[in-house]
Amino acid sequence: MSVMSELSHWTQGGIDDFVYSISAGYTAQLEVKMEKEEVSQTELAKRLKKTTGRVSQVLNDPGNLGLKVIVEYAKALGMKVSIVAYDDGDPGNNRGPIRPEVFVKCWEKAKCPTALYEVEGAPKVATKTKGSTNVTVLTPAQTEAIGTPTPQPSVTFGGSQRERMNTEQIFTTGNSHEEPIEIYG
Amino acid sequence: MGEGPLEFHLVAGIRVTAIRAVGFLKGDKGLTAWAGFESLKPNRRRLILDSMDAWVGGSIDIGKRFHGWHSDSDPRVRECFVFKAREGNVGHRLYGFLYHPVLKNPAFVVCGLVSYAIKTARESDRAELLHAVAWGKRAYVVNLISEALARNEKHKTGGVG
Repeated sequence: MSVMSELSHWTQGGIDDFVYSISAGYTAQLEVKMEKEEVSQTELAKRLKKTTGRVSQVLNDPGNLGLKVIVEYAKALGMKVSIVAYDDGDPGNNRGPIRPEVFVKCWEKAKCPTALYEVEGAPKVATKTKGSTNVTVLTPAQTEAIGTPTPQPSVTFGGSQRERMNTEQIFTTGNSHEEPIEIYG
Repeated sequence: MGEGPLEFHLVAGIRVTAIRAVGFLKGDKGLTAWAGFESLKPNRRRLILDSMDAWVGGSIDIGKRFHGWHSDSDPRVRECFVFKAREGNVGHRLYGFLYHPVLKNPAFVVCGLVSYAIKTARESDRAELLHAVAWGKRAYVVNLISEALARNEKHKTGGVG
């Protein structure tokens, strides 16, 4: 672990710190769930067919967890896992990772969509009736938009990296009142 | 009293957010949190830093990582706070007090870490909690906190520290 100034995030020093933070953030989610549902480490170990010592080690010193372990532990508590890559306009990691609970809260606030088209503000899907069946029809522009969730701007922006990032985020998060066509010029 | 002038340092690498900040109080033999934290193995320090990150970001208590005593029957310890890490059967604890330094913004709270303890019993030592809270009641301590926050703000805005 590196020594840093007050204004640098503690995970800025190296990939080990960053990885630890991600693992610890994940196991914190498990602990919240265990607390809420009163699942003890012994009970979790039983569900996982592992020793209590091993479970305790994973929860108390998560370190560099493998994907399989991550999925197993979540599943044992009735949860799922997604791996999310994101661009928060902080390539130097001055602010540290976005914590998983932030993503979860946003997803819950968006009424837990299970697909992109259910996300408010995502490109609209038109429907029309064919006989007694509703058929979903996407315009070419919509198909293109859904198929390329993080497109590169086709014009050069004069603004800063942060401004460019915001512009892209507007599209990918679907929070804009603007039409995508205006964003990409 | 002490081993030198009292100092309050925001934890390096942990942001001051709009709602929370955390720092170490140093400079007295009763102030053991900083030395205790430094003595931990790197992964235990990382776990505590991650917990601090979660807390300043707005997470509510996670019993095994950090928590306060907000609804304790003893009002004296309600402003106490702890960050935890476990190593085998040994529990590492960093105890501190909660303090609201900005009158106009009562939602903003600082956790001033005071003491380090190794815990083996389930219940916290009440004397430890009262010791931590007592430091947060001292006028010169809260002045140090305000100064540290002002320094941080100056750094952030590019002013002369």
